[in-house]
Order: sequence, then C-alpha cells, then structure tokens
Amino acid sequence: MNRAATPLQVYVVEDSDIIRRLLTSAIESAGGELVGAADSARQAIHQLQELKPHLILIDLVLASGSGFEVLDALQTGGVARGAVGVVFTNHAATEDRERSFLLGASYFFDKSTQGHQALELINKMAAERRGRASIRADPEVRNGQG
Amino acid sequence: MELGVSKELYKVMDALAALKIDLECESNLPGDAMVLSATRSRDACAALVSAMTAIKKLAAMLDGEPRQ
Repeated sequence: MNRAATPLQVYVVEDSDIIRRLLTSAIESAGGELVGAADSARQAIHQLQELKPHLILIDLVLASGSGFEVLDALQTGGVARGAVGVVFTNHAATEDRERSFLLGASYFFDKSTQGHQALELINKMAAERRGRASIRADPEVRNGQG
Repeated sequence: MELGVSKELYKVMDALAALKIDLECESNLPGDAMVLSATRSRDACAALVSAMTAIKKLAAMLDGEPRQ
C-alpha cells in the first residue's frame, strides 16, 4: 500500500492502561491508527524494528526500562527511521526535557499540564496526513491543475 | 524515596492526568455545550478508581504495612 495514503500510524510506549486507552481513543477519533503499543523499553524497541509508524508517543517511566532507551534506539539504532518521537510524561523536570530533545524527541508534553496539547498534535498530524492523501487522490491536483 | 512509593505516585499522576482530559478541564466550551459521553464518563471513573487504588497502596506503604 502507498505509505503516503495511509492514515496516521501511531505507536504508543506507555505502562499506564488508563493513559494507553485515552491515547488509543484520541488516535482513533482523529482518524489515525494505533499500530502497536508496549509497556517496556525492550518490547517497544523490539517491535519498532518491524513497524514503521509516523508518530511514536513515549512515556519516560515504563514498567521496565525507560523512554530514554527508546529515544536512544530511535536516534542511534536506526529504529523506526523517520518517525516523529513525542515524549508524553509526568516525569517532566527540565533535565528530562533537555535529555529527551538531545535524544531526538521532536516534542515534549507534561501529562499533568499539557495533555490537551498532546492530543491536539495527534489531531493536527492526522489531519495533515488526510490532506496529503486527498491531494494524491484528486486527479486535478495530481495533474498540477489544483 | 522508595522506588515502590514513587511508582505508585506516578500511577496516581497518570490517573489524574487522564481524568483531567476525560473531563475536558481545559476546554473553552461553555458549560451547557459540553456533553460527556458514556465512554468518557466510564474512562473518568476508571481513572478515579486507579488513583484511589494507588493512593491506598501508598498509604499502606507509608504505614509500613505489607504491599498487596
């Protein structure tokens, strides 16, 4: 299938069932697709070697390992190349934020205070993908007449 | 701080963060325009139960009782 025409594909690294459910609901409401989820760093890194999501939501505190390990694998291990890494965590001290960005995170959201901003980003990215897919599907646009 | 205690505290924070989103706490919608779906209500209740369970465990830990 043409990857550009697929809906936003999201992978979630999160050990809280409640937050995972909330994110799944937000992803589906936005028209995206949850392609996988893990509650530990090792499981996430293993699965992400096969999957190619567009967006990866990462908590820093996991059942085992940490979100930093996942970010490190994305940055240096060639895992899920091209995916946008977004940290969504309650572990939101300045040093956590700085370390996340050093490890290649594109966004960092504090769950306690920036939950809605994280959901808005999912909506925005899903809408952008839909827009891209409709441009590709529109023959006039495809022929440069749009 | 003991690892078990901080882990439970993060569970409480996760539950409260989910509750805040479920209840649209940051929404600018006027009160009479907000409708909470049954799904969201149930998710909010699940978040409350999770927070209460974690707080109960925390209290037991801080009292020095064996963990459940």
